[in-house]
Amino acid sequence: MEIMDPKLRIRDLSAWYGERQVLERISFDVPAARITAIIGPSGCGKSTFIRCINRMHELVAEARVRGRVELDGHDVYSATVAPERLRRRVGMVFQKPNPFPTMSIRDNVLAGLRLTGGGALRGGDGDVDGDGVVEQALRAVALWDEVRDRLHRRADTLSAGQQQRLCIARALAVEPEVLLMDEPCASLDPIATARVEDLLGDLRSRYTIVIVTHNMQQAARVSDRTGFFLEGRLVEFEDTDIMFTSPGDRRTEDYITGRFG
Amino acid sequence: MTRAELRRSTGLGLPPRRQFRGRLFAVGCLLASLLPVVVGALLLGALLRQGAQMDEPQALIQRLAASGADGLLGSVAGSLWLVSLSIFIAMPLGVGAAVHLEGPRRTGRSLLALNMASLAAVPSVLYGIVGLELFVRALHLGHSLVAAAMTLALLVMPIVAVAARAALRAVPDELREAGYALGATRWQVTRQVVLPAALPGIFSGVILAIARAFGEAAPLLLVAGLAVSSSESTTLGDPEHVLPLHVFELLARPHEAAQADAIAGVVVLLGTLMVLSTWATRLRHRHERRRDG
Repeated sequence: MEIMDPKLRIRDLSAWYGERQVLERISFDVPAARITAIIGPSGCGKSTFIRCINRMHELVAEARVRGRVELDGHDVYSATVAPERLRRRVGMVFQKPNPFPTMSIRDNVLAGLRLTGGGALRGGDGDVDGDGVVEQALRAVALWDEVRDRLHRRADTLSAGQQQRLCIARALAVEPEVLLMDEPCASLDPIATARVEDLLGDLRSRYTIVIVTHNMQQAARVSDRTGFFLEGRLVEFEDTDIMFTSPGDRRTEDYITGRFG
Repeated sequence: MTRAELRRSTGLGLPPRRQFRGRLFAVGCLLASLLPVVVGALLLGALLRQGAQMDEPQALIQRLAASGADGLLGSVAGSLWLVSLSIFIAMPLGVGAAVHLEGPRRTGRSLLALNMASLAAVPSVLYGIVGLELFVRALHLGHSLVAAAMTLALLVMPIVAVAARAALRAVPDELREAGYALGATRWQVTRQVVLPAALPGIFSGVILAIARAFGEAAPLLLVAGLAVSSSESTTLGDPEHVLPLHVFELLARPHEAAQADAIAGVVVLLGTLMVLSTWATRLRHRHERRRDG
């Protein structure tokens, strides 16, 4: 589907692990300030796909990519792009909450700014500015009221759901434009999942979000557009409403009605 | 109850403790864990027996208090100083090597890793010979403390490196990915995420290295030039005045008084090692507790 001024434009994207091809000529556009869901059965390449967007895929030994991924019209695989700079504009949240266990809650939020050099923190590494960033990011993920009294406790003292929201706050603190989420609720209980989904609703106007999920209800609830992947290929990419009411492809229908997967 | 009755009564077979092989294994494990205790007790027992045979234990204590303690305390201080120097050299080298070996694949890396692992098993006398030829002679450092510290550093570096590699490998990849996803470079992720997480493991390697360096006599004999008794005192100190060599030298003397002093030296050596390892283990435990939250 062609759209005007997409945030991300993916063209003929293929990816391999060694000799094994996991993505085959994926092409579609991701609209800005919308939530795009990627669904599909296990092993269909959906995680690999979003890891190609922020060039995390290439960190794996023997991983290869071909094709184009454009962010605001610029090819992220061009020789002039530093992957580290790209990843600051395209943040990522992982399947398993992965806060830095040796750091405090506060330091976790600031980790992105500190890791990439204190200078990135406005006005140097001043605590005043740091406090502002921490509060803003934690409020954005509705974690502020829960942890404001224990910002200096270690991050691994939080529950799994809180840890995942902390990881989202950590990603937001770097002020990315795109947020990639790789099954962010896979290891959370239903209540924590509901909180993260609420959060997605709050974030959708400010960020372009691409969320991988194996939970079709979740895709239907939170996303504006949905792409269905099967065996490394994009079967269908549609408005979520259309996708879940009248899918255009037989295989999509079989999948979302639970006939396989 | 006989075995047959037992089996019939429950219908679920024998409880594990009654299984012969399981018990054999448990007994084997118990014996294995008792072995170091027994060896340690025998060692201490022998020391005590020898000490008790001394003609005048009182006199020994008096002599130690008067002048002998000087040599003993001096050698303890010398040992601590020498070991600190060598760890200061070996730690950055060992951790650096581990970081390199755990980094992205490069050609010849597995060969390097194999080499490093084998170095940890090389007899220490060989390090003494290397130290003598390389530092003392080729680099003209003489029979100096620096040469001795560098030799000990060579000796314990593989121990640090092997432990640090294991510690680095134990850091979950999710943490590395979290760092990369925030836009950090490899160096930033290694320094600020991976190394802090691996610290307890690295520290345990350093403890092992300290203990090894502290008790080592053979390489120092060569490097300190005790055989030709020409060791050179510098402002940094004198490689001859370390605890293992102190004991060695006393044992080589034929007088019984010297033997007594040597036993005192051994007791101090063992005691220091025990204090060191207790302290280090507690430090490590505290770190791990903090980690568990």
